[in-house]
Amino acid sequence: MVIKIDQVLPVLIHNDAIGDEVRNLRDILKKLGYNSNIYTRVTTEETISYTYLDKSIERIIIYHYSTWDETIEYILKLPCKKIFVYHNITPHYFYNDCNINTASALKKAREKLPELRDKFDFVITKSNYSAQELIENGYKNVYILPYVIDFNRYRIKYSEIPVPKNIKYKILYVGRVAPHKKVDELIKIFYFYCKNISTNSFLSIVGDYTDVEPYNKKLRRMISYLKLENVFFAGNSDLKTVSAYYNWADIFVIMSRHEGFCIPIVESMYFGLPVIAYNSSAIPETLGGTGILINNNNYPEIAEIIKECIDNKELKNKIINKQKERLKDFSYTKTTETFKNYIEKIIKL
Amino acid sequence: MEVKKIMDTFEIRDKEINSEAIKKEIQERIRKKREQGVYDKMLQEYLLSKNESIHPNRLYISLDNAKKLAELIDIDYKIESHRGTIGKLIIFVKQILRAILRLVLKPLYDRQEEFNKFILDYLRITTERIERIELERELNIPFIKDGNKD
Repeated sequence: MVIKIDQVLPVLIHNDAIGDEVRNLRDILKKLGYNSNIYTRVTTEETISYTYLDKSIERIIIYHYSTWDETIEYILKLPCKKIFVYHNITPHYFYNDCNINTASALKKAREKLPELRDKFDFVITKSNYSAQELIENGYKNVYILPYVIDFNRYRIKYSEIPVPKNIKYKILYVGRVAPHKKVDELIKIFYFYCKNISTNSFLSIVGDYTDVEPYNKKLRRMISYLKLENVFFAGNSDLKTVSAYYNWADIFVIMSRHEGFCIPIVESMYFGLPVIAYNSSAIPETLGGTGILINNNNYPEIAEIIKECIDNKELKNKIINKQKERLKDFSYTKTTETFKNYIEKIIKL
Repeated sequence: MEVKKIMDTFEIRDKEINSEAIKKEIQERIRKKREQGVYDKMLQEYLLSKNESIHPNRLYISLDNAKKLAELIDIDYKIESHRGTIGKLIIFVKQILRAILRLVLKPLYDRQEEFNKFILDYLRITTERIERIELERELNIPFIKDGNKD
């Protein structure tokens, strides 16, 4: 009889899509009556070293895969049932110029994907986009579970944020400041916005920027060359701060070229922000026919559509209302129920 | 021959929104701005501001200075003294010291010289590349200059 369902991943990060998902799943599993721990290579007060995982078969392991790490080699040797949760892998070439170690781990992770198809008893991924990639790599019976997001967690007292008052156009980006997120393009769009539409505008970039230092430096240089004063990097922020930014902003814009899902889009839907996002990877799927998709980098035109979305109240309301409808597909009850069903299925296997 | 239409910059999939009307309006706005020379002015401003900070000329001047400095380093410079007879002794002692030190330091000096040459060459190539890429970009900004071409 299975009484333990543990999760394994390289590292558990705060304010991170995978990190938050792992915590949410642990809490759900505990509510369902299972003993559930998080095992990592880099341990924190919340996690246990993966080397403590024994050969007990009365356990199910959920492995979260997004990069190559020694933890996977270890868990593959264990005799228990294993669930593969595929969060997708950022294409390595985005990191070639700024973090060669990350680039090489990502490359290996994608190369190893076909080899892993028969090593797990159950396969879950976060979107049809990612499922398609697994199927192309020979995986069968791929199940989809969008990220489990408890929207009640945003009902908190927001932090004070360092943004100027009386700004007319408040543009927001939430996510890591990484090369594949194309924050450089967002800054260029904002340059057109300031120069040709309104100087009374502000761009807040909320997300960790310590991971890829050369890219971060490049962005700072670009801001300096373009003489932009109204751009702010908030860095890795807690829930109270991120919520405050969502509450502050008029619009959410993302030019990312690779997303296995896109939690900030869903969060923007929750906070009633119209979303403008690049038409790539799982972004259209997350939007589900709502929001505005960008197909190229025609910066003057993108700047104009941002303005239109903020100023044209009818358009803005239509987008927001449609997004609210889409949000129902990601309700906590729905995703939790799906996860519960998958767990029941694997126990019966 | 089939002429491919460049994809629209944005798309709104919600059928309740008249996206064609919005596209038309935005394109009209951009056309007017282009006619008024708004984007050209912006581009000129950017290029001017760039002149203040990172114009390739400055890179080349720095590179020339670095080259001159590298050429000035001469391990066999002439040892001189203004102190008359005692000066000759000083010159002699210095020459002996240099001959001894030369044995130890020459290999290191040679390697440093080789490294300096490599770095200078690298900087020259990089500077050229930056200049070429920037020029290419400045001459080829289709969305600013011409907008979408069908």
